[in-house]
Amino acid sequence: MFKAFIKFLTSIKLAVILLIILAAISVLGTIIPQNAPMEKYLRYYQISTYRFMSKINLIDMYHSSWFIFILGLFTLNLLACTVKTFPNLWQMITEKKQGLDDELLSTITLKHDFEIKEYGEEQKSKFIEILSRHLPSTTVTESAGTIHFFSEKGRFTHLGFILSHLSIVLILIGGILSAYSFKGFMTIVEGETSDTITLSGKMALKKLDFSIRCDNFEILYYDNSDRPKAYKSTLTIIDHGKEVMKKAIEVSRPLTYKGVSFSQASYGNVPDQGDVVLRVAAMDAPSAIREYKTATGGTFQIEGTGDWVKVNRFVPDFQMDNQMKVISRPNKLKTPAAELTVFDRNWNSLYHTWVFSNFPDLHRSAQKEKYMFTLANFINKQFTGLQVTKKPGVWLVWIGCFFMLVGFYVIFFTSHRRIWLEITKKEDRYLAILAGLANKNREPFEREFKVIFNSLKDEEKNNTKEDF
Amino acid sequence: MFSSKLLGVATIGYLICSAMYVSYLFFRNEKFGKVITLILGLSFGCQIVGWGLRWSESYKLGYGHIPLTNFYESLISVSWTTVLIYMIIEYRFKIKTLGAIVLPIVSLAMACASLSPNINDKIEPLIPSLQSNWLTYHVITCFLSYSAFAVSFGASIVYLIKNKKGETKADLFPSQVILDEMIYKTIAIGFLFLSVGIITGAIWADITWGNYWSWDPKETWSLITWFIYSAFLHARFTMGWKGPRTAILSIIGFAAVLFTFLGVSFLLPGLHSYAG
Repeated sequence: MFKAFIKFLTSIKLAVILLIILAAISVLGTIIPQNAPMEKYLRYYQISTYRFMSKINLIDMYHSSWFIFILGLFTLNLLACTVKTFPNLWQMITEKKQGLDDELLSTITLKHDFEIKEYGEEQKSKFIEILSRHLPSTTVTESAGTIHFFSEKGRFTHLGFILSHLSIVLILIGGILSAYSFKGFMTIVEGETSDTITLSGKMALKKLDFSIRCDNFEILYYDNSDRPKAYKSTLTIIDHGKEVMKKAIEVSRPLTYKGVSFSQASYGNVPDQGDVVLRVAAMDAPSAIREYKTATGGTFQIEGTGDWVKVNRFVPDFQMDNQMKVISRPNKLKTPAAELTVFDRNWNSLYHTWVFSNFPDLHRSAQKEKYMFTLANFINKQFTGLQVTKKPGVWLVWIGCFFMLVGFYVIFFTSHRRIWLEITKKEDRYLAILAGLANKNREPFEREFKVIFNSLKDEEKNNTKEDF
Repeated sequence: MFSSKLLGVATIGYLICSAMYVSYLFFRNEKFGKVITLILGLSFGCQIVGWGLRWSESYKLGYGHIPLTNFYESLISVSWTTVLIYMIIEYRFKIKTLGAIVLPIVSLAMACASLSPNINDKIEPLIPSLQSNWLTYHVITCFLSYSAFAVSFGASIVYLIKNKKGETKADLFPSQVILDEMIYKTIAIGFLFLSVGIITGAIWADITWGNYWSWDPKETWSLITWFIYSAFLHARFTMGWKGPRTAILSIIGFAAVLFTFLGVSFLLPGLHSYAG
């Protein structure tokens, strides 16, 4: 009973059954949405059904214990099948025996008997030449009056089986190691530094042992178009207070430091913060316009008079409530305005004013002001959104993938082909047997075998003709 | 644009080839067969040049990307990979009769691409996440695998027809032994390319999203297809299955291929969705 169970566990039958089960589960996983918000399920299912599905992890099945159990079983089965076949394969690869005994001959279906009139050194080299044309390494041995020719090619094709199956085990182990990985998200405002990521799926934070600064974020557009061509963040890694790395990342061009990868994932505007561009002209000299740029909260000095201007704040949509207090709806660039304070050169406050871009002349009517300001531009401060991952097992996965492809190539496009030619002297004639064996791709090998057989026969005919 | 004219010529060429391949089933004439292959080769040439021109036209528009990025370009590309694989199989096996099944499928795909009003054939700029050389490796290998599976599907259908009708209609199509070998060979090629396609996709996803596998519907369906064909290979290699059972498995496999290529993109949401 136990033995039968073990036999089943290590059988190819179980492998095929597991493949079909895995395929069926995966189909289910694409029909039932995975990791979706609860509302989405309630649109299609009763609440009791949803609770049941949630309990048996049908809504996050690829991470459920039963799915991992099936994968584990699959891995064990793969290993068992490989181990079970290994001694046979190893024997095939290292085998020294090249003779054709009766036992082997009885298992070969591809064989022909024929007769040769003459056999000598000349024929021997001809036969070697014919065999080697197809299967390059030919050896000739003699024992008890029988001459054995043996040619073979592709002994190492048996390695393909081991490579391809162990590679899948490697990939699965790499996947299991991803349990020790983390995946998260971080946003960094331009100019700021952060070392904290929000882990996805959980409401948890994680601190990195180094920090990362976003020097700049920008969107590049296609020429004459509003279609984005690239999202680009310039990042600096700071480890123990030292800047150790600086790199501009884009989508598909991540940065990796200490095994942690940062990929460009999103971006956004920081409300009401950014660079304000102002045009300034003195009331008594309105044609001498100067342009200044400063960050919100920053100051600049007006050339000539030496007066100071401070940009107190920026609002994208200027409105007043019923107590005449300025309010703004965030992120809606409708009536952008900036609040300024003007000081003299000794920092004595002269007056407050609001400056608008849509109504550049509005402030003039308010009071007698020294300057005429225009809000020329506002460059919103942005933040970059980075996907942060650490996957310690990923190298195993890539090595596994490489071995898998090499293994498949060897399996599908090479085969172990062997040909035996035995010549035994009987009275005044020579009896010959030509036998061939291929471990796969037998149909093309049969054609090749026929060609070899015909060449040998032709050779024999030529010999006979010469005799007469 | 000149590229779409060339692609139109190729479509007409394939339609003519389809008709000729079907007639070839009834008039076996070696000269006639050579003419079909010649026309097929010329149409294929037109398509490759048209495809290449579309690529260079995209540079003139300032977008500069290989034509593999929307549904129209997918149909055009998977058509030429299918013709390529078919021509190799025709040459290797010296059998032309399978063209009567493969070429009508290709013509249908080409005609859909150029005639359907719902399929946008404009050259569009590429969104940042698609701007990668991995796009080329990933999509071309996937399409080559779909094509090889399409040819194996054709051979499997013929196999089953012959199985039902017996060998009486033997002269129309190749013998079952050869068909069986064809099914196996094309599936082996398709399986290798599918594996490369899945792996290059995983590498690309890892670079772009920091994750090599995220059970996105397209990923999952490609894996389902991979499972089915590996079940086929084990059934044939290790369990010694031959004949109609393997042909049926190959047809199920191709149904999964079709769903991976078309079904997922239009029915299931995800990273590969055309609808979104």
